[in-house]
Amino acid sequence: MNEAYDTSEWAVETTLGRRIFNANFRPGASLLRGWELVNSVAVEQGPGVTERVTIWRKSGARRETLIRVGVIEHDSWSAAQQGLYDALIHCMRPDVPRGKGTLARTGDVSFAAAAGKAKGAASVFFSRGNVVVSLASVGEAPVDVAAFAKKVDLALRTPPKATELKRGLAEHRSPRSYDVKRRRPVTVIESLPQVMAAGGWVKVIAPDGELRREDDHLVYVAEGAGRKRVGHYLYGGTR
Amino acid sequence: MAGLSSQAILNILAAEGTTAATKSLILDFLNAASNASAIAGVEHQEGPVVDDPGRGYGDQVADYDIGVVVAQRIMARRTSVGGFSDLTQLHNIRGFGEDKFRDLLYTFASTVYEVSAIVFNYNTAAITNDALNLRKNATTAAPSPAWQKGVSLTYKDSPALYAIKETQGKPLAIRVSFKANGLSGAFIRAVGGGRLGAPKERYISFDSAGDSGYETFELENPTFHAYGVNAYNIAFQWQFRVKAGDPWRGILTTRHRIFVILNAPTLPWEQTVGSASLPWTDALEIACSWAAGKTDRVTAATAITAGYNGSGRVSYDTVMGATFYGFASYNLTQMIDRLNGGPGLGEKVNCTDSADTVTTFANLVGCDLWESRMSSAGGFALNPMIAIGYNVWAIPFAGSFSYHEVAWTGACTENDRVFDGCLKVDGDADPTTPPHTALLPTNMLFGDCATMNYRLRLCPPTPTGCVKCVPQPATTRKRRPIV
Repeated sequence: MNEAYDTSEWAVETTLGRRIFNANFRPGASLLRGWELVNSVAVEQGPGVTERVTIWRKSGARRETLIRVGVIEHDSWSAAQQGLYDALIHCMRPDVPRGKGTLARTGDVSFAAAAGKAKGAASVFFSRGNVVVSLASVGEAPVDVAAFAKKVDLALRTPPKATELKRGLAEHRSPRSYDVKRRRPVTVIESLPQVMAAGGWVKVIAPDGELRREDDHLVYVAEGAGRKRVGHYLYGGTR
Repeated sequence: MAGLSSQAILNILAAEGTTAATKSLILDFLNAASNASAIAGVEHQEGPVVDDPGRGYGDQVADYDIGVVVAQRIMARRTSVGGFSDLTQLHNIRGFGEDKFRDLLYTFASTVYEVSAIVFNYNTAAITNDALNLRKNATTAAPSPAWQKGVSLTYKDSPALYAIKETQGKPLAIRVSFKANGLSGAFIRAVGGGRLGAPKERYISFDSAGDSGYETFELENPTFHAYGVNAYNIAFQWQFRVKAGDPWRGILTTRHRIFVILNAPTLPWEQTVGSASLPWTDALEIACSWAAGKTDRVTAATAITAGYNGSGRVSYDTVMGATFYGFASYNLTQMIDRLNGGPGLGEKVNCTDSADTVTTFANLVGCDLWESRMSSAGGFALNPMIAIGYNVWAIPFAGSFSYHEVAWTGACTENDRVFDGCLKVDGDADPTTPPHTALLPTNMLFGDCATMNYRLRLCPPTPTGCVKCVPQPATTRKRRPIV
């Protein structure tokens, strides 16, 4: 155990992320306007843990200007935080600092560092719900990736905009409400692999409690009994 | 001379009993010629069309066959008829009379006209008398057979890999198949072959369909063993003759990319047929370039460490020291892309990425390194260093590493040696203070905190430095699988 990173402390801080679940999330051109996708790779980071890495190049830049975006989807927010821990302990920097300012509000837990004395963040690692995201400036010219991190986090944690629903870019899947008992799991998605195989980005946001994957199912465990409205959205393509 | 009439051509073909196969070979030859020289050869040497020694003019040995001027006229006729489909289309070509037409018939009526395939690795279970199993990369198998008619066009299309140690003093051979027309057998050899040596002359029999099947040719006088790790472009000029004492006639030149390594690659590389971890030719291109000419493991690993550190394609992640090319497996595919000028997974690397790269490339050429870490709780303090991709002395991360990983020999203890492609240490008597003398750690004893070796060059002799920089082979010594 690396004592620089206390996952139990992270768990205490995590509220929103417990009730957010994303699957098949692919950061795309709408989040990185002016950047060209030059590589997309699945990197195995452990048994059953695959990081989807995309490399983006700044269009028209004189020096090689690249951003690496890594996304790992875990079964739950707590597994994601363990994944974030694993990523941090494979950093040679002994004490990667927590995100400060607006980056402190990016993700459930975030870590960020600048290049030397430069302003901004050249690397940001954060977890939001079941997803771990890393953004890093990996080219010759340094890039502040903080704004991209915030956009990615926003995409993970908020429902689709009305305009997205209206234009058919995202759809609201039914059923939308569940009669639940306190701490009794209900299945929100029967077969996540089947839904994911269709290729769309699945986002589920519960009003309280916790969302987690159990085998092939996505389950919701409510904090209290009653009728609960769970947002279940399906986006086509990438963001 | 106005050449032959169509009827004269038909009369000669009938008189000679020319077979359909022979006619087809002649038509294929004339239609495939890329220019006049491909028909005439380079004067004054004998070309692919040879003089019929029994008829016509000249000294009946090696001259007065089709020359370049007549060949140009044949090419012009080919253009005007949209490609030859019948030998009578050779009528009335000036300078192309009965003598030269009979030379064509003579050339193709009894000939070895095709090298069909070449196999360098004919025994996939052994590497002592032939080449090793290999593949192109993670997703693409190597061509099989290594050379194939109509498929293998460039040197790189036909790769083969040999290990110096295992083949030293052993007879080496390749297997080749041919096709002939009108012959039950012929002597065949190849000249050239560079440091691999030339296939030795032997008599080959053909079945009634003209196929030889695969025949084994011993390679004469291979010399690559003396030149260490390397990659060669070689060519075999295949030749045949019907009787001993006849002049040799050319069949074809085949081209091959020959990789030479010190001995069988060690893990993560394998020799298991079908494995994705068979030696990759894409990786061999880089490793054999970095370690070119090295004849032992130490100098080869040293050259690979230096090649990586000086590649100019990667630089240290001074922000977090994050692992970008994988900590469960090593994304060699993307590192190769990066080293070859592509984006890969970006320019930034850390010590794990560097240890993976040095170990994987070094072990590919036959070294025996491991990826292993040094660490302690809370990390360890550092001396000034020059990180990969930089040229300034600095101490990263306010003075310490949480861990460091290198390519390491043996059991990866303080008594073993390290090859660190990630950074240069100070090589002078006092690494803690300027002036500094840059030294890339290659074959450097890890050492203890009493004697100036790698450990004291990396860390200051303080309670937070050298003492806490402890080898961790029990939990971290590995060779990451490649993807």
